[in-house]
Amino acid sequence: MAARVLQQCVRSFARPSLRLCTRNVAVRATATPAVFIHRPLSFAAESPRTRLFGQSRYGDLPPLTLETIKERVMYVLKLYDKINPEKLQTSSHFMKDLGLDSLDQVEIIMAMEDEFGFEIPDAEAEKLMTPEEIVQYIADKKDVYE
Amino acid sequence: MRHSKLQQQVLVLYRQFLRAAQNKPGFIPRIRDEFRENARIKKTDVMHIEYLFRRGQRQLEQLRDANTKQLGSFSKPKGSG
Repeated sequence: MAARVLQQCVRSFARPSLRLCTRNVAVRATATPAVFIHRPLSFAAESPRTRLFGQSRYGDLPPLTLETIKERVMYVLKLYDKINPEKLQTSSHFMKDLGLDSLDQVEIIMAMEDEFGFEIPDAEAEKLMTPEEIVQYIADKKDVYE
Repeated sequence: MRHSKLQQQVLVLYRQFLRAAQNKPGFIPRIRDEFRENARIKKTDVMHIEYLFRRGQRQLEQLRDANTKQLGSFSKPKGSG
């Protein structure tokens, strides 16, 4: 209830109806919800939300497979400016084949963290030296088996 | 690829810098250039490396401060003096 009041306050702040905002604050302080004030409130708070999300049952990402992980990893690597996309393969070693150094490897691992949305601890990050190893690591962490 | 303790600390510092600078414009190129430049120092020159490491930690604190917003620089236009 407090969240809806806050939403309405934020929305009405843009409009010059500050009167409405203070009235809602007073309602919250007394803790006795007056139904006729709250009905327009809840209608305004609910309708955009149900219009956007009313159709879907859950808002989750598509499931990961080894193939999709590999595609995303290779895509991110191709975007990196220090890598030549023609030389890149899943087995190419960052330092031996692609001529990168440890600073670049840190940047690459950070780009992977941003792409897949989870943190990779430093101790494990420094061991990932080929795209294949990165794919295996992410598949391990995300419980993707085939 | 076995890194020494100091190398690992430098890499951790680099990662912290990149994370801290993500929402503040202008820092990333400077950070990358600075680390790339100092990567040329010989591994044996420990005094210099440690000095730069301490300096980097202080700069990281400054970067993380909420009052630091962005970084810019002036450059002299070519051809005029």
